[in-house]
Amino acid sequence: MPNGSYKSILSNGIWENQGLVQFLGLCPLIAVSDSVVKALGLSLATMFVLLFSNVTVSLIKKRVSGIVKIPIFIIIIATFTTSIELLMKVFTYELYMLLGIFVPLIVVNGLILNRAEIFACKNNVIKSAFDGLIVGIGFSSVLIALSAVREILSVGKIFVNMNLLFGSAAVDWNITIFSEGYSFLLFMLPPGAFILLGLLIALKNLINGKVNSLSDGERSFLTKETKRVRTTGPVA
Amino acid sequence: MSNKKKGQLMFSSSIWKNIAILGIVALISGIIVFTTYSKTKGYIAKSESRYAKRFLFQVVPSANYNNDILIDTINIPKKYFSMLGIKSGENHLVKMNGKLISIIVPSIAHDGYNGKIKLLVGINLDGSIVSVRAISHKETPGLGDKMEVDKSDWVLNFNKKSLKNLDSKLWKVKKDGGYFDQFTGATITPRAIVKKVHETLKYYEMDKSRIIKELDVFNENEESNIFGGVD
Repeated sequence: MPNGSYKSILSNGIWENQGLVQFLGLCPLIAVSDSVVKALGLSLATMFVLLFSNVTVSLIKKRVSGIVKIPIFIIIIATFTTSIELLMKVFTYELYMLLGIFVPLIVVNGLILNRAEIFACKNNVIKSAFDGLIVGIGFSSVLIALSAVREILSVGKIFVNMNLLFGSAAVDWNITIFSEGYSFLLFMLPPGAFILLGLLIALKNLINGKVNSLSDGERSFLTKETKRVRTTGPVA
Repeated sequence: MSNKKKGQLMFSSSIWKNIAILGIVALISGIIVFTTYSKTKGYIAKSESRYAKRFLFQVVPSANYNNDILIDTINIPKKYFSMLGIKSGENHLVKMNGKLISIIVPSIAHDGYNGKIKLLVGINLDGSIVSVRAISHKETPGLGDKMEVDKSDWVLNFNKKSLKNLDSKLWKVKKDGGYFDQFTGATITPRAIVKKVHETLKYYEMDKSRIIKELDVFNENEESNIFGGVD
């Protein structure tokens, strides 16, 4: 389905975003977007898994086929997820405790299996690595943008507890935006995340509509036809 | 017939091929995970103990003791487990120059709004509370999480309270006619915590003599050793 030029990887990964267009990986998007530090932590973990699973799948793509394809992809993804889980326990134990179940749940993030199934097993290693990185950045940017807005609207601050990820140098990074003691429960809870994600998608579609209404000559590479379908990779 | 046989043969050979590939991939990933695990095991244990210590340190001010409160522990008899709501656990001992000052008792409130609320209750020898900390919970953020000390001062209300200076009837939230405030919009969480802290104090009263006795025996042994050395 996706052809392999770097330009199309870039536009597919960043703009025709897995989170915003295909609605993959919604569970972590809703669950850990209540603070920037959690979003950043899960983004990095997801990117790590995505990059390495794409590379590995691409390396072994000629050897696996048929009914064992999906189980093997899952094993590969689970391997890297377990590894990153252990590494997080070493370096950012408190953040790991905050993220809780959502680190092991990276295994079942549809986004990663989707990339393995529809891209990495059809393209070479370098392209697959590039795709993993770009799709990871695309997913992370949605997650982090959502968490930044949610953190500001829910507690009136941003970058709280960044020291969990960046060490003691980051203790004072938090910025108070609204007055002390401000809190808005709706945005702390998942419904707030759904509402904001909806607004984010609306904003993206608005921009898409504006760009589409321009003449052909003015169109940038961003205008690639929006495919508003939910794809879970074809099951072999 | 020969055709059928050939088909069967092909079918089974592809199955064997799949099994072999699956097995190899599983083996390799097993090796990767095992290597990562064995390399990180030591560091993870260190992180875990640092994490556990963080809460113990919050319960008692560090100026009040000079022993290693993480490893200096005394067992809790099994018969008290249901009272404290725990399945396993130990009391941590807080000592100054070898003399017992207070103990830190773990307990779990099971009747919170959403799952378990794990508590650490620091109790002075006279039965008054040093302080209480909730070390993990899944209560609603913004409503039921005001027992966290960096969100509200509520949990500090327990400081210095004991069974003597607060009547048993008052170990409730205000809504139930007791002493402690409920949170705005959340009564179940503080109700569960107050109840469990009360029970923890009752446990301490019941188990106090045993703890002091066991520690005294230990101290006497130590002293006799010293005298033995002098002789």
